[in-house]
Amino acid sequence: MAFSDEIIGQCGPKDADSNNDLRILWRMLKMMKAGFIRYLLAIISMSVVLSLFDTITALLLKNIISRVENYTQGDIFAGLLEEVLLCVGLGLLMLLIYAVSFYVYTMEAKKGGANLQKTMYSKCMRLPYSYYEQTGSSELMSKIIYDSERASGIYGSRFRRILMPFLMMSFYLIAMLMLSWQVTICLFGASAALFVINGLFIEPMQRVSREMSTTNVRITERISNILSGMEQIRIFSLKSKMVDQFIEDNEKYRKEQNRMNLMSAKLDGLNQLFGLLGSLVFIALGLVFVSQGITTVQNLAAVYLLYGSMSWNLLQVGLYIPSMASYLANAKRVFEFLDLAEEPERYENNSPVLVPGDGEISIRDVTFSYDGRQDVLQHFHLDIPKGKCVALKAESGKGKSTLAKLILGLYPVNAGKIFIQGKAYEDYSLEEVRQLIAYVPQEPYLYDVSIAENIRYGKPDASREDIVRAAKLANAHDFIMDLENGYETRTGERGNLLSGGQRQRIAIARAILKDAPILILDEATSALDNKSEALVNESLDRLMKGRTTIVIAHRESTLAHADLVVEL
Amino acid sequence: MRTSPKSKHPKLMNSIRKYWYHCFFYIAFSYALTQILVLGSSRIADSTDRLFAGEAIILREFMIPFIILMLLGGAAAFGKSYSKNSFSIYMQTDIRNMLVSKLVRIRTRYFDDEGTGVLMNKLLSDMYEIEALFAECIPEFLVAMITIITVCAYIGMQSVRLLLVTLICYPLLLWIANKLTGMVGKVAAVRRQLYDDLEKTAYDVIQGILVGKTFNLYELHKKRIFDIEDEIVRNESYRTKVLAINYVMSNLVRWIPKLICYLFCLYEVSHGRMSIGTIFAYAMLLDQIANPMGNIPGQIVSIREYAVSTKRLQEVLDQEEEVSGTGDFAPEGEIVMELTHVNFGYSEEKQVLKDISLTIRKGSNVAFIGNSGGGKSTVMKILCGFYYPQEGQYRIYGHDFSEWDIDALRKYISLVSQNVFLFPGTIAQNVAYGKPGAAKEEIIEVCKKANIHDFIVQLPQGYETEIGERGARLSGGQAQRLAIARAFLKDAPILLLDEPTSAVDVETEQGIQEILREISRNRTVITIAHRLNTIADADEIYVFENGEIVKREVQANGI
Repeated sequence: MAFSDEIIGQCGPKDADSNNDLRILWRMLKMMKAGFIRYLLAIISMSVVLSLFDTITALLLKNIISRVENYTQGDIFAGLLEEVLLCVGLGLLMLLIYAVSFYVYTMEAKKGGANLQKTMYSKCMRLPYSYYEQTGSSELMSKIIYDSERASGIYGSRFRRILMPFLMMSFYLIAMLMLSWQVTICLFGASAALFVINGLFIEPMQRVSREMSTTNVRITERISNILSGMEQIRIFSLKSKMVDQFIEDNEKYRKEQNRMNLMSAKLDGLNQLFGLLGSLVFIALGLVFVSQGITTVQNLAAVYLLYGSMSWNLLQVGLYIPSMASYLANAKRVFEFLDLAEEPERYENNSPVLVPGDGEISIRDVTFSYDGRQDVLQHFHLDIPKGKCVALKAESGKGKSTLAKLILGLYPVNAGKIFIQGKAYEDYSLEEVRQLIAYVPQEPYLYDVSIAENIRYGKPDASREDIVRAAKLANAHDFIMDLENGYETRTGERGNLLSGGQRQRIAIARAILKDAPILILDEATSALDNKSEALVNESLDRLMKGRTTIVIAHRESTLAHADLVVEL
Repeated sequence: MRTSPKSKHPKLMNSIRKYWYHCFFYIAFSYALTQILVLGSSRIADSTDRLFAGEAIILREFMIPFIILMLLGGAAAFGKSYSKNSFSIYMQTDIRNMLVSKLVRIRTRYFDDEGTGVLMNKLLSDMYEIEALFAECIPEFLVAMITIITVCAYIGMQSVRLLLVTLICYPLLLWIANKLTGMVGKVAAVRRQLYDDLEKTAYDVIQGILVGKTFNLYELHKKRIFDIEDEIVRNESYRTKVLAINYVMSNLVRWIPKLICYLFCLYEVSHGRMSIGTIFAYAMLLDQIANPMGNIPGQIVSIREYAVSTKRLQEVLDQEEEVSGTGDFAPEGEIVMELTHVNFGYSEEKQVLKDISLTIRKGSNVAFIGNSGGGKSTVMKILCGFYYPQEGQYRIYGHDFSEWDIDALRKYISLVSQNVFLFPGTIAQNVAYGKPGAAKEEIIEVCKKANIHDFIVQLPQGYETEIGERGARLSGGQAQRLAIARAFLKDAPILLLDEPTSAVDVETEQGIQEILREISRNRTVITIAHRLNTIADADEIYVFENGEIVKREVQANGI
């Protein structure tokens, strides 16, 4: 079972309510598996410890004030040393527990994030081929990077930033209630008003923030287009036009930022106002309560110290709820991605009984269309005898590459059947089918690993000797040895280091190493120089020997080589 | 050429001079706000003392000034927040405009040296850093300083001794913070590297998905990615330990002085130098400055980090611009372009062009062929004015390149290259870039000539179809035809073709060749060719090898 399946199995299948923010959050947290318990405990422990830490300080202050108050009655320092030592000792202990919890929490969050990314990357290797054809690889990558980073942010900070202040606020509230419940209730009323006001701003601020992110994306696009299209911009003298367009969007962005600014400034003003109102309520009530003997000044001081922390935490909860919502939007996109259908293990048998011909590959009455409207292949028949070479010839768009993709199992056929070695396609798993075929694509892709490793991909357990032998057969050994690091040379992004012919020969070596009975060869369109072409052709001849070969031909010379030419 | 250096290389920090008043207001409001808070505290201290002295407090007398303080506080907080963000917003907008205006004028060399990806990253991520610098770092640093200074001044007025006790542990805090940030910094570099590796590997895997799928490489590639992920988690473990220690230490250093201060207060009271009210007010104020004081070391580090981004962006602004004279000459004369003894190299050591001389006559059809690295593309770039000869002369219509106004010169040149770039926008807009203000009929006409009209009209939105990520996807051949339509519309006398068909398949190529033949009529054409059939129409062929012209052939058919 694929890794991504395991995880998705853990966090529950997609359900009708998958738009609900709480459900998305729950799904995210469930993805942490066993780590979640540790994660949650660490957050709780951090909150308890931090609030106790503040409470200790507040109690010490209370103690000192009460000493000052009773100054006249005795020795101001009596028993102080023990109390201070106790306080410092407890404080140290708290900080230590905090450090450990912080470590556990952070590591669980990081593991959760890594796990999420692993799941997404596994998924992105297992999508049906059509997905990659429709989505560019950079588009796919940026989606994965951005969404997984943001969604991991829920583990990393967002969840804690809401849960912790909430917990701490409760702890402070308990301590405050114990010190003086009358003052506490009044103060809490003032804070609640603050909370409501902040809540009122959430909706409009989110609206502007959405507009801002749209404009921001446009700005980024504009810069990227200016860079990519620089040549045309210069030749067609579009400089000022491009700059004007950019400035227009940039100004729009500024205006949106200004609107946001005005709103958050209003909010800050109100928060400050209510913060001071809280102090006012505190003083006024405190004075009344103290003068009536309901509470004492030292309790009042301690409550006030805690109140500062409590209302700060209350504001934090309010502050981070909208940002949590925007992170959950990314988590939602993550799950949409994870819920995409994968390439099946094998294709389903959906055709009436057909009898295979006697070829190694036998194609019976196959109809195929990419979009369900226009058939690329219609009732197509072909038998390829074992060991023979068939060249496919057709105008562009007439389905010769499509046929290769069908045989490779990159797309399922719409109707009809493909038989390989006399067995129906659906009786193989896709992995088994692909094990039988070596494929040399039109533009051979070299991975950014060493040349040896690139060749080894043909047969992962191949020895060094096998690799060298394959490279020799592919006429690649000599130029590889000429490179500074020989077989250990990394090929660099898109194999830029090597010429087209060299890349092709490495791809051929890979196919030779795979040693599959069937070979599919998509001929390169661009011309190679004569020497290079001769080397490539020679190695191809070696590769084709004894194999059933399908060549997607672009050149007349290839057609002459084939045992059979099929025109589509 | 005399242009003022200021306009050529705008300074990033000039914007500060333009918007300093926002910053000034911000500081003023911050100061006002702290004063209001201090005033509030002192009133609280007062009334507490009076309460203990057994005086009756008239609530109204106490409340009215406090309510005024409250309203003023709200207003100051509003002004503070508003001016702070305004400062950052205006700065950002300005800097972005500055960068983009500069970008289109920088010499092409720079883009080749840096690579579009790196440059893009620079512009975006460094821009984000700068945003954070102006939106958070600088203002918060300023306000932290102001809060600390005002509060300390207040404490100092009450008792100089108390102030000294407050500040006593501060150097220790700075020292510890400095040590730990150094440690975290090293880990952060490893971390950045690991993430880069991860992205690179994942990108590699996705790009090669066709090979990956057909060779059953899923497990292998999964391992490649998972290994890096596991390494990231391992690295994080070390980083988290450092951060945890950092947290404990900085908290201790913040907390211990507080305890010492409380005890000191007690000592002062016992000597009759302090009242309960003062302790009370002091405890409140201490809370106010504890955070800004703790944050300052971190802020200094951030500012230092962000300064790197400022420097990197300033580098972009300091780049040399394209050479441009002021001449606007008529396209006259038999000789269209002429290179005499041109030498050129991308770097000092490696000469790419050696003593190139060639003459392009009006109406001729010239082809450049040769191996890659032979120099033919570089010559083309020099002809476009993207690069300048290091030695030798480049003349167009009889005038030296440096005499020309660069935009005037490019009026006469059209370029169709192998990598077609279509801007996001509609098809009509894209074609119209060839001639700003072109009428709809003209656009349709050139699209017919480029053999793409039929395709366009069968799209649901026809010429108004959006292209690019959010719109229709065009095949390589279709995109190339649009580029040719654009060139048709521009109708320039010189046409440069840089392997225009190398990215399309053989069948499509034939169609495009026909259109190119059509557009070449009555123009001076220079083609970089990669397939022999491309140059069948050429009257003159230059063969490039290792930066030299090794052969010049004149074919009879064209002339």
